[in-house]
Amino acid sequence: MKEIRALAPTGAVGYTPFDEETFYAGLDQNPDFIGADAGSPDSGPYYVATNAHYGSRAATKHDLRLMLHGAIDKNIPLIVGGASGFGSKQDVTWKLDIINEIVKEDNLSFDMATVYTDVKKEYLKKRIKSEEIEGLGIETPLSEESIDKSDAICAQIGPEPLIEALKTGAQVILSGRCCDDAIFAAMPIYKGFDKGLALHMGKIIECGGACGVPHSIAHSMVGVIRDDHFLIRGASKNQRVSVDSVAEHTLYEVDHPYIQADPGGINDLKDSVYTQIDPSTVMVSGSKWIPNEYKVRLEGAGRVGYRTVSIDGIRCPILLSNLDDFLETAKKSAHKTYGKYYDPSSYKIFFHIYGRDGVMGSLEPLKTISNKEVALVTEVIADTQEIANAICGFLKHNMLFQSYPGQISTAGNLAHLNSVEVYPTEGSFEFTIDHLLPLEDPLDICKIEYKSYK
Amino acid sequence: MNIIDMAKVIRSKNSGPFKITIDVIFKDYDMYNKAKSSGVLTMDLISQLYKISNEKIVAFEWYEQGKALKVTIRRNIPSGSPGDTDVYGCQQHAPMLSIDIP
Repeated sequence: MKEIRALAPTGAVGYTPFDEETFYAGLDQNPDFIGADAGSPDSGPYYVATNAHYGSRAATKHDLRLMLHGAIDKNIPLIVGGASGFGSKQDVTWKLDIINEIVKEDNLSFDMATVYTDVKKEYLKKRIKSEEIEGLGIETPLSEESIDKSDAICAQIGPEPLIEALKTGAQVILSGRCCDDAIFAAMPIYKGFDKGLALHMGKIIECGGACGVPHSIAHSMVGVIRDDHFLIRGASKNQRVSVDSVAEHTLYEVDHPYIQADPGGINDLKDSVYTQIDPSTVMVSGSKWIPNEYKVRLEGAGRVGYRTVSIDGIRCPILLSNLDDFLETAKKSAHKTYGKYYDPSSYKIFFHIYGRDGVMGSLEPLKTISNKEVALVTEVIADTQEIANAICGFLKHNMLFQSYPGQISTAGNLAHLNSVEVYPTEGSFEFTIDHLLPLEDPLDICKIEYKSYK
Repeated sequence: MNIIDMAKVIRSKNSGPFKITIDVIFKDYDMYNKAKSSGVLTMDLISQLYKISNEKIVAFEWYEQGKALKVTIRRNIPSGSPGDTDVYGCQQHAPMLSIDIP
């Protein structure tokens, strides 16, 4: 029977050293390739804009080392997508350094391709001069302003550049930002398997053992694709995979339960059939790929400003019943006191009231304080760190003795957590670009570099 | 019956940085069909629970194979932007827990 087996050792390289027992069990199933996703912008614009790493170097090295050895021992390809952050050039280079170390320490030799998916600002600015680039997550078309505000911009490539690298003979492929399903769909598509099935399988196993029971992202999972179906199978017989856990995972973090967009088309999973084969195996069929115009998703983020926070507790019920006015007065005092030093447009004040609506903010339906205490988080986002520190510090010190109607407790309004300090953070960032870029050729947007380790 | 007794998963999470997707995965087909045919779960209900306009609801879909209802809404503030209070959007499901289905 014609089939291709994929081994996914982890849903996130470097997140935590992946489980070795299931990895070796997975290798015993004789996979045709190993794939691993390593990045996403899920953790917020800070990671994207600054190329910060979500996982650790030690865990990343552990994962890469084991996967490299596994691929070389079995003489099969290894495809790693994204880095442990966003997948921009800085990220990819960081990972490449680790691979270079492993190659040297373990004396490895293989052919390698590195796929860079960074997009240059000049290129995008040129394109928007002659065409409208429609928004995906962002509702307005791509603008010069958004491009300028971005500190990092990547294209989320589909399987085509990875297929190109496989065709050229690379055994190890390290890619920047890419679609997680593409990592696992590339080889099956290259070898002539159904694209809809390949992408659906990729979508499920890219999270490693997270589609099993119990959900465990750092455990291995095996995917087997055949002519008209694919299997999701635990790497070891002890792992359980159920129809429920697989169907549930298909829903995870996507807009729509069965229409899933990818570069060049949509995968229609409406008629997908999930069948339990044995406690570790689920069979899936019926996924339909519907091609349309080839567009790749552009993602970008940039710094908004500098950020300082303060955390203080309030226990006085009389103050709590006056909290909104109290905070409004505090804001006005800040503007009044600092008006001659800082333009009010150079900073923004946010109060988060944990115990009322700190978690849901404007979505919170129950806007009363039903607790005896609240945690007040004061957040200032400003054009400079100096302004953020000054305004946040002012608010903290001023609110301590600010008066309010009915006040009985006159020795201090805030319970300062441990120290009378405000905390500067890494900064304030935002997603600036989430748009769809049409491409004549999927390879136009990326750069592939080849290298041989001997 | 309260929805907590009918569902094994009720969760919220980002779908990309600009949207939050809510999944209600029912315990079995009996519960799924009961919920679906009750007429209680509608876009208007979501609108009321979250106090958002219908335009902010970008998807409202029943998924038979998953025994699930999926609702996707536009965030008021994108993930990580100034003023955001839930980077992953994973603690926005509480209003769903008050739903009763006769």
